[in-house]
Amino acid sequence: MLGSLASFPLLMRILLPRRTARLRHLLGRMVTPPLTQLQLLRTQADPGPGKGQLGYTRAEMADIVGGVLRAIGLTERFAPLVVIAGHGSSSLNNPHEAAYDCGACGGARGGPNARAFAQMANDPRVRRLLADGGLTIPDEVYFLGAFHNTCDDGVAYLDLDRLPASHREDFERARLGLDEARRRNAHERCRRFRSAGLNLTSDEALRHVEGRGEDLSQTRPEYGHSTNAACVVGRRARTRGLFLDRRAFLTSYDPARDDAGATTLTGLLRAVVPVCAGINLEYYFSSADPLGYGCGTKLPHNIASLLGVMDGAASDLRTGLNWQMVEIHEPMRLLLVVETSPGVLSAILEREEGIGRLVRNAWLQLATLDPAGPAVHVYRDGRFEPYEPKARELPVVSSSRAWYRGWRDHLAFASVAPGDGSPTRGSRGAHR
Amino acid sequence: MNIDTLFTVMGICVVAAPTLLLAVLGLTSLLPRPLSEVAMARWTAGCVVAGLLASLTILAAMLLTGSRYVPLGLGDWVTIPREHFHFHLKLVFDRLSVPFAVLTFVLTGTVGSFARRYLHREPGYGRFFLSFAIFLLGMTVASLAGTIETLFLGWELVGLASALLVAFFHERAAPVLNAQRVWSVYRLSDAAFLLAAVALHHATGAGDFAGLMGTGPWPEGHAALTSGQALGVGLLLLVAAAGKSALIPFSGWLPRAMEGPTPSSAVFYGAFSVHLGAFLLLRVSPILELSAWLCAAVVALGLASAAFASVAGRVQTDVKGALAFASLTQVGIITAEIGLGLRYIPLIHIIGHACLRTLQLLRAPSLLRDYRMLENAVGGHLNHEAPAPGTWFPDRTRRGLYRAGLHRGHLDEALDRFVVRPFVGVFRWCDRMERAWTDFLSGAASRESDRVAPVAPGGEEA
Repeated sequence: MLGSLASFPLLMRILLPRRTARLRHLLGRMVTPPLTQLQLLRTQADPGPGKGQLGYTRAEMADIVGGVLRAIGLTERFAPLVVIAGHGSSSLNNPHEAAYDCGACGGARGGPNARAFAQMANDPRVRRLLADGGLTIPDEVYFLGAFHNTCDDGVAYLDLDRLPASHREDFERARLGLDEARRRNAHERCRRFRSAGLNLTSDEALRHVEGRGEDLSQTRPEYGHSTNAACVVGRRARTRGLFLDRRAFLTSYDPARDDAGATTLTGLLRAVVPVCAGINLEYYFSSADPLGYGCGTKLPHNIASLLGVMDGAASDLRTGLNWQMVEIHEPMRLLLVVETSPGVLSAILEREEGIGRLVRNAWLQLATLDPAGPAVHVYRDGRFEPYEPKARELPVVSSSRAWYRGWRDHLAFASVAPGDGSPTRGSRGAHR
Repeated sequence: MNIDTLFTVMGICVVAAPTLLLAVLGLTSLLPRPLSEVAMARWTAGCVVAGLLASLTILAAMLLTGSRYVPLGLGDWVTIPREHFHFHLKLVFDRLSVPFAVLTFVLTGTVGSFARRYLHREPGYGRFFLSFAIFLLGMTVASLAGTIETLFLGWELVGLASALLVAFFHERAAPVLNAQRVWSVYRLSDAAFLLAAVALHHATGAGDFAGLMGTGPWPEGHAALTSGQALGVGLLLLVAAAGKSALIPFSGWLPRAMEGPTPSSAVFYGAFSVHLGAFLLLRVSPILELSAWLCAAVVALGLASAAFASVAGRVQTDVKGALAFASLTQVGIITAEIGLGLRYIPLIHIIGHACLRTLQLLRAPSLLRDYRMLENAVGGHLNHEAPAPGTWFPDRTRRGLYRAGLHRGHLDEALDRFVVRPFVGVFRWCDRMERAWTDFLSGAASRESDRVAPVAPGGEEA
């Protein structure tokens, strides 16, 4: 008899997924206000699982905060409000959910990390230690943790109750900007979904992706890193205004602030190369051989032993990415462009065995972008050779939207310059 | 419009809607340009809604007029006068069939809507919805059947759709093998059903439930059979029901059937296919009342299946297998309820269980997330140190139960050994005898097929 009651969630969740999700969140908020606290400060000397052994000492916190800020080049000209966003992806009925989460940490979500980082960076005692090390964070700078859900493009701001009243206005401005970014991002992502119309407005696109994340029957909640092709390590100013079709990892690095031994770059590459190449190769092999290296279509997947999936009633455990994740991916090796000189990069390849092996054995393609000019050198057969671009001119468009509107497939590069005319349609084919 | 015309029109609508759906999906799949995904989903939704509205109208009209039994003859489709056989298509609307029909439309509609997004861009999208239409028609016909031939028609369609959907991913070997296994068990239960129908026909001269069971609407009908006849026919029907509902000893096919896409597993093995055997027993409940031995057999089979499934379900390592056995536990209990002479309680049990299990199966891929949310809420790992169930058994018994559950009671192996092998053996023996005699009579190797090499794979297969 009680079983019949299950027909209500059954019908509602399948026929009206987004509305039901909102109702559930509303109820959830009414019942349990989420009040949690991070255990950050370690009081015991040795780390361990016991009481007082979790977390970091102040010196370690200063190392963590300073390391990140130096790596991304944020050491001066601070904005009053700095938002640190972790990412993750939330979708229903998806045993492969972790595959959309952070690849660098084996499928976890970055919200708590962002929250912890902001708390550490706001701690005046940590800031004093940093100032002793030469990195001064002005008192009026406030760090705010956030979590970006890449599936429904939602952004949750963490510990807002601690936000000083003086920063409230800055926060509202930041939130408006991020909301617009969310809408645009959702809109650009939607052109890849066959089930989303090509004529959506930004708000409809946002609603569409929100619905996808809450839909039990959605096998493609998002495309994740599908179509990834390039990674640029350099100043954002060098790529600003270039339409990259959401296919590039962008890592901020300022060669002008690095020392002669390229310490910052080495540290960055130590993280960036394995992560980006790993993600790229994961997609590469899963789409090149969906049944062998990928785990095939996810429709018959059956969770076994709480640790993996089988095909149907009994099969080997399936590893790799499922077909629904990689169907629009074009298997290609990552092109890593680093804004530095070939000499510096060669030295790093010599020094860093992990990076060097990936590059020498051609698991990725490597190129340098001259920090002072447009010269590009490509790594071929053990050395850097000057690269001669075949085309000198890029199509100029007034906005990204004007370039991708109405197109489902890969698009070529374009130069986005607000105020310019609309492009000619013939020039758009995918860039190879 | 008088009430009889309303019943006739609506009754035809209930069956015509799925028939139309099957015709549209089936015929357009033969065209060079098949229907688009959206068009197929729209046709499915439209026909399901039409059927649902028609059956709800009938339900409302029956409640308003207080009528409890509305037969609707659709004429004789096949007649063999010499054998006094006529295939009489007849629908019956009563307290058993109307709730079942409404449930069919609601759940298949919901699952169809689920599948529309779940199978988006799948190469077999059209195939899935075609099988789904076969299933919907079969299920509607079976639930509304007024004669035993009509019920058999629906029963067969459901079995066909079920086997086709288990083998949905036919590019891999395992789904095809498992589908053949399901199909074989279904054939066995079909054979039992047919034998029962023939026996009924011989005993009463008609396959019609109404004639067979005397007067009175369900569940108060009375069958015009002797107790002995009822036992014989009833046991055959019990075998048929056991095959369809995966009761002992046929339970092995149920977890194997979890090969298809999740929505088909949900609607077949959570909701309908697995309850069809119980439904058959409810349909022929007047026969059950004639024989206490038959009732005892039904109760025993139901309870044994429930006990076995509950043991096996506890040790399954995959979520769909565990849900399959959980489903079977309930079906066993439902069967036992029927054997105990209850009528409305099993019906309500079926409806409740179908709704719940469909939702659970559709949500099966959420298991990892559910665990994580639970652990987040608890703030640590779930306690696996809690005493395992059944501690009151001695260790030896518990180990035995564990092994039996893990091997799914060796039921499949037992069937292979004690049913399949003797069966195949007998026919091989007949074949050998025939060959020996023909060779002897003709004085040479007489069978031409022996000299033909097995067909070599050609073209792409090679």
